[in-house]
Amino acid sequence: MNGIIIESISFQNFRQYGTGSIIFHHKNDNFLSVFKAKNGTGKTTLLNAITWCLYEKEQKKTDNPEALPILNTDILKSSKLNDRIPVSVSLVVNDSDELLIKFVRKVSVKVVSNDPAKKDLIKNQSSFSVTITPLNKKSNTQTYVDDDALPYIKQYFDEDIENFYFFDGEKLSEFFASDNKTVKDSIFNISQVKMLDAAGKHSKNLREPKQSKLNKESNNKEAEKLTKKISDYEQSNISDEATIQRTNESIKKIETRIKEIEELLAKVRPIEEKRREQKSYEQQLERLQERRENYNKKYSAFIRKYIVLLRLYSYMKKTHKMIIEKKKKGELPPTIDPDEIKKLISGEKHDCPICGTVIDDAVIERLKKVLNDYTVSTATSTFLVGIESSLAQNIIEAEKYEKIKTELTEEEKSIIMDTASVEKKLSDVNKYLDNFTSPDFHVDVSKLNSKRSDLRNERDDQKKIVTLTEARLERNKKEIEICKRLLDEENNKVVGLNQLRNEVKVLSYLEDTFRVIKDTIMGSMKEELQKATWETFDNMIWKTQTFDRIEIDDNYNISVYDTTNHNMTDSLSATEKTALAYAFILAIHQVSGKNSPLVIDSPLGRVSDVNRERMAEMLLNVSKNKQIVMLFTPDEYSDSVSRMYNNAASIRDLELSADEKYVTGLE
Amino acid sequence: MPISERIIKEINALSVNNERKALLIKILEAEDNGKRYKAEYEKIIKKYIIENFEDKT
Repeated sequence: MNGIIIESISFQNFRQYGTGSIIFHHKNDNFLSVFKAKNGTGKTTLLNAITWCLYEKEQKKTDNPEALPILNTDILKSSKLNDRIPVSVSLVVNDSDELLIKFVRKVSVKVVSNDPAKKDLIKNQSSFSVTITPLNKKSNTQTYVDDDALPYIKQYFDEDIENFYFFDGEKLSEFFASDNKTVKDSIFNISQVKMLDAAGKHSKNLREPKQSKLNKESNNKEAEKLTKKISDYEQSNISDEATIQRTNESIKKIETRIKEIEELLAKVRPIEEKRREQKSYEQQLERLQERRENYNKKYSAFIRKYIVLLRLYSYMKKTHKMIIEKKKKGELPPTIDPDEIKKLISGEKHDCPICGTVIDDAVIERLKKVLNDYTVSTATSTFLVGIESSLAQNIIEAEKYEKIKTELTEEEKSIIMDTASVEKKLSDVNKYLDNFTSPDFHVDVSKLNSKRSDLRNERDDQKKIVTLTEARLERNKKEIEICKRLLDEENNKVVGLNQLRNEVKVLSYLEDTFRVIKDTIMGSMKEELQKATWETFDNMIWKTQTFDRIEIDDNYNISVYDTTNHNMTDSLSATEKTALAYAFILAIHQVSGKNSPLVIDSPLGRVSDVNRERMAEMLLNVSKNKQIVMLFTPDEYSDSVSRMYNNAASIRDLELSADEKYVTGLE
Repeated sequence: MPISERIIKEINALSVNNERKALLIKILEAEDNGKRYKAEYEKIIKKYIIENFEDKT
């Protein structure tokens, strides 16, 4: 399988696993390992051992950590005061049969109480290492320690999205309550988009001093000007990108506050009808705003087109009239190449190449006359005949000016009138809500509604800033492209300095290509993620007529829409939310291009009936190309699931020793 | 770590010769390998120019 597989996990004095290893076996081409364990046996501890090894933290800590120290309780019991005892967990991962990576976390614990009833310990001397062994033996094994080892965690199991690798199926329905802002960054990191970005930036850093040197040594003033221009645009873009990011974050905060206010207002029953009206008018205004933006675009295009057409109209008209008159008078000769006529006159050819007539002296005399009779050259004639139809078309277009202008004016009037009408209705509703007082309610409707309106205005202003900044950013990017092309031409003019010039050329190519690849991947990722999430979600859910599509916004927040175009995300059932979380997790794995394993505690959570079977089947299918480790209690491993998994997965029961201090049967 | 299949696919789709594609991959590998990118980039680019440019001096 081309992907990342956890081959084994080893423990040293770690909780109830003590010292030993678990090897993850596979069966029948499925990379599915099932562990069954009663509650308290060490099911969740296995998941925690992985997260402790990688991130030095455990996802589901017990309420009382002293009850289950990281050091195995049996070892602690037999220890003496001031004993230092090592605890470690190591995880061996195989990356596509190319690399073997061993993540090791070690900690030394010191026993600080001699009282057998309250033995306690402190942790110190913690260390983390990653050892990478190439399986092709072409290079040596390398070990990275502490800070140097962290990039490998980031690349393989980024802590920012640990919930996308190691999670509790029972908690999946709460999955989307968390903030997704780091998801986008992590996806770009896993899919090596950040590496492309770094390669592009490094190429640029190397190119810039070389370009300056080339400009200076070749004394090319034009190239110097272009270099300066590119640098100015790039500086402006950095500042614009920061503004967009800052403003988007601010918009998100404002929207959260609006949502909080709406939740409070939703509790006040008597204003339900008015709030529905308010929502409807606001949606109508948003649609009108879209109409206004489309109108503005259309109007700008109209002005751009007619500013040229109207300026040229009288000349076009005159030229067209002249061509028609000359045609009528026969002053425009047929398209004949005068060189061909000269060849016939000179006797180079004996037959006419068009009609086959024999070229005798009489014909030669006639041809000489034709050549002399030209009042305009053939080239001019061809040109005039050629532009006649496009002139006619442009004249017709120019004469439509008044009609189109009237249509646009009507459209604008209609938008203005509709907007005024909806704004009036909305203002009335807002007035009602602003003045709504009821001593029976704890919610101050008037204050909240007014605050909500202010926040919506503030959000709309911020959105305008984003739109304008994005437009400038795009414009500047195009300017940079043009300047770079011109600079390339200037570089080509340089005589000598070949090595320097070639280096600039190659670095410039690298910089542009890495940027293009990065933009292509980033651009398609959201759409692919949307499509992949929808396909899995649609397959898992038994309802076939309810849901229509999934949309993912620029910040990778996910929304589910029904067939009547309503956003259903907040009203999904727990099972549907679980399915959506699975679909999103699997889509992220698929789209990032990094086939990482999944370790799932209680994979089917509280999902029941037909959805449970569909989910179990979907996960089994996924395990054909991805390692999945599932941790079940015997109850969760129901008959329908066991029928499906018993012959397909590697099944293992985790049990405690008779004294309940150790998990038994480790390798 | 191995360059992702997705990036390899994009590089393969470029309409440039195989030497250019190999150059892009070598630079990405250098990027992935270490912190001394300047020296590595210079080495790879100089070698590429010697092998692929007529006017190299």
